[in-house]
Amino acid sequence: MKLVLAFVLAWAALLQASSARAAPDALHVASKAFTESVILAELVMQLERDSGVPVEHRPGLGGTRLIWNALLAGSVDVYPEYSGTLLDELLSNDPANASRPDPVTQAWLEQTLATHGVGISEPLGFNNTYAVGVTAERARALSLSRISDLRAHPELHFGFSSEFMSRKDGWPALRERYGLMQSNVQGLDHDLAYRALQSGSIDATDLYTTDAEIRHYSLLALADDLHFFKRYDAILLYRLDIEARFGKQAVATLRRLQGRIDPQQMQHLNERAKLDRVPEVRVAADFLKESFGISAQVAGPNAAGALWARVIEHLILVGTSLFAAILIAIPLGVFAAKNRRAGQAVLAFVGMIQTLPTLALLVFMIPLFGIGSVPAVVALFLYSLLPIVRNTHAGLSGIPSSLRESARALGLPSAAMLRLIELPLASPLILAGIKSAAVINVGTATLGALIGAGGLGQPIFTGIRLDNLGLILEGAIPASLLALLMQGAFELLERIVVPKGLRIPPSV
Amino acid sequence: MPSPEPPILRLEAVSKRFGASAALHETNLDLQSARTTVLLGPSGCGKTTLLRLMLGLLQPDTGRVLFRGQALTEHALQEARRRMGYVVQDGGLFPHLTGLENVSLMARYLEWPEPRIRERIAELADLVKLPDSMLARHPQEISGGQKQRVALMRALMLDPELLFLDEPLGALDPMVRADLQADLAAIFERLGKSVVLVTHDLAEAAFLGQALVLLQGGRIVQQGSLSDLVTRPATPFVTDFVRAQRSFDLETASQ
Repeated sequence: MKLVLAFVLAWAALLQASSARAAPDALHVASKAFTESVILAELVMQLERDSGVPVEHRPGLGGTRLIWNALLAGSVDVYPEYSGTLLDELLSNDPANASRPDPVTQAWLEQTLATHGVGISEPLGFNNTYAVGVTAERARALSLSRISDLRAHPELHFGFSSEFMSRKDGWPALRERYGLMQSNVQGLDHDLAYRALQSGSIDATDLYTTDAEIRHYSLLALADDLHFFKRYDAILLYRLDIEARFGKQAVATLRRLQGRIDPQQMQHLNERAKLDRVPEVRVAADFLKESFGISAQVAGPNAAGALWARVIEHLILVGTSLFAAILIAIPLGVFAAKNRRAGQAVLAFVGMIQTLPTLALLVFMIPLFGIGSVPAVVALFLYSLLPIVRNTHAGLSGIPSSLRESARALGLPSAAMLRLIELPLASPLILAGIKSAAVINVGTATLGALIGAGGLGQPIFTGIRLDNLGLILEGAIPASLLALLMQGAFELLERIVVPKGLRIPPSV
Repeated sequence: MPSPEPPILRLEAVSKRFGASAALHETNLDLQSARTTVLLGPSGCGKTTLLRLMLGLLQPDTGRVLFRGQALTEHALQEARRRMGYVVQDGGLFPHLTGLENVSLMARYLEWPEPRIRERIAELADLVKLPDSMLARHPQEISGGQKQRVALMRALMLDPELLFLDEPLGALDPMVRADLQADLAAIFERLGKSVVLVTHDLAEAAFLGQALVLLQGGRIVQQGSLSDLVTRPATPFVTDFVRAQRSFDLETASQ
């Protein structure tokens, strides 16, 4: 009992310490999980910081819908977006579409977004639209130069980013417009697609026209001869309340980027970050110095310190969710074992949670909890329920009836029977359930980085984005070590928690 | 002639069904105190169901069970059980506790003072002839016969008025069985407690019990002493049952 209390106090102190690091109110600048978005967010951050506004970065959030919901919910204040995405994805079901002028005007956009409490900047100066890319080599061999040319090669294997696969202005509409017959089409991460193109496992992928890789991998962006792709002018979306929170200057500052970045400049910035491995912070700082004469101070990253902070973040995600899960799941498992019919419903319910894809669950959490560590902890908590509930239930149901009858015949009340007999007998299985929840949690928590929860997923996803194996390993190795450590810690705990009598093999 | 003592346990028109089949037909039975009553019969005759009804581990469909004149209702049960002891077939010792912890579990729960617990355990260990070193072990570390002795100590710890044993010797090999049989007889004799014992072995029943209750197909066929069963069988089944057990004993003896 004292052990548990000490643990809770230590944990509370750790949580206190970690939350103390967050600034009271800062301008939360978010970016999507690709380099260009991160660079644009860095530009905004450094400009704002230079003008005296406290800022905080929420880098690499996993998906347009997610970041938009976070903006509406108030956990993000500013993020870079593209006009095409805004119109066809985010505002596609907006009631204001009835009055939508063609072509769309800036005034209409401002008016419509204002109803959501959101402001929009003028275009930043480049149009980063979609294109279909093939390797130059393949283009020569099959004489491909326009998207229409793909019609003659239905055997080609396409690999599109998951987002492109599902967007209204993505693959399904492209296929219809061009009458493409390819059936071998798969979704994969945008950054992995380049490597897949190189290795020949796919023949074509979706590109962004300012992608650094176009030149690097000598790719050819096929001409959009039917003018299918919309304009994707880079813009900034921001919450209108930042004016009240940080002053008029905050809005004026981010609007300084309007019309200041042309397509060649953007591709160059992307190249420096992705191919020359210059940190985005530095890339952004250099650009600001050149174009605005601002010398932003860029704190050199302290690698060991940063890694340690990631490990702590990760441990907090795993520990908090696991602790809450233990508190809820063991009573649930007991309830399930004691009430057969309701118990089946409980087991079915926690089993169903387990089948939800992690990313989907994380996204469901955004409207409820915003972004950051809270939704991640809630999602991890939900995932931890099943192994613990199931094992508690199995442990209690597996107690031989002769033991149960002996306990009842002794005249023990049911609460005492649970505490003195049933839970100790079930303890090896319950502990095994907690252990597997913990080990799975360590892995799943890496996905928390996609909704701004930090942790060891941060270097992994940044590494994937930058094609930087070192960074990937910087997250992956500690995560694996943590999982092993967790396993070891539980084996140790087993010696303390599981009664000695249950660890003796029957000898006579 | 002394006036007949009131029964320690009385079954009034008790019956029990499991699904479509009747495990026990309507049954009346009085258990006299300070005697060993043996519930006897072939497997499936209802003797274990009868025992479980007496303990309140099962609730009867009809009728009621009276313990010292008080009905064993749901809320009277917990109190009543502390005045009863129960030894299941394989001992039913909790594997996560040592023998000592098994025996003292209820006393500790009821917050007996430590010296009283120690004193009672020493008394019982002496009674069942179990060395202290065995009590320090976990059930997995002692033999079947020793387990039954520990289980008996646990059942006797609170000095119950009524002791139930469900085939306590069923799972033991013949040598250990004979040993423990003799010890049990001595223990019952010394304690003078009311005991209910379930067995399918007529010789064991005759050896340990004064009152035999023979069951068949969920009904009591005959009550009485062994000689009653042998000399005045109530039905042909009684004769068959007695004969079958005797010839079995002869066979095993001749081997």
